[in-house]
Amino acid sequence: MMQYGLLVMGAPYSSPAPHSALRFAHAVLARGHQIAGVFFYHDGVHNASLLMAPPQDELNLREAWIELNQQHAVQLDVCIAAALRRGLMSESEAHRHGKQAFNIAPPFELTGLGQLLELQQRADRLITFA
Amino acid sequence: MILHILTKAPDSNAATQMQQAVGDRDAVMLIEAAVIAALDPSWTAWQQCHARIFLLSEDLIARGLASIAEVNGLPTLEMNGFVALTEQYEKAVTWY
Repeated sequence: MMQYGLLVMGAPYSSPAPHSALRFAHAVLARGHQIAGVFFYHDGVHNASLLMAPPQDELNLREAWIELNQQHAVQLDVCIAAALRRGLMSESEAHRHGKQAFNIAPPFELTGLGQLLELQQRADRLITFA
Repeated sequence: MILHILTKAPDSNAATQMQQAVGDRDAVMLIEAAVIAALDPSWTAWQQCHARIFLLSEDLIARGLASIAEVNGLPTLEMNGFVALTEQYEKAVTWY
């Protein structure tokens, strides 16, 4: 049994990367491994948007990540620097920046790049989807 | 021993750079747009990485290329096989 870390750098619905990462994650779990965490970086931060509203007959990527978190306790970390400059923020960040809305909420957590290094150290494998 | 994951077409800069970086004991996994390599059995990477290069079958099916890959006799792996490759190779590099 190995620990896997996933780095997701593509935006949902414009890059195939998030969907590839999600399918890979389920295959990892099916082979008896664990997912130590998923780190969303660059355009990948859009995966965490609370305001994502795709048509109901399409896969909702955010909900699919949340399902992974709830069923397999997979940590979902979002790079705060990449998120803020793309207009993604938590309630507390929105308050700090004087914004009237927020779109990042648990189980997604805004974290720094240090968390990616920590994931790299904790995981036996780090696989990038970009 | 590195697993190279290519996500872009064979005529992309990413593919060219990957071919320059691939070592004799490395393997290559072709996913997403890279699976259009199924259309080109003369692509130099097929010879360069013989027996260590694979197309992701799910992405071939999504693009309607599964039968052409079979006709051209090119090796495929399912997602399960992709994970198995990452088990064997300690490091993975994604080219995009």
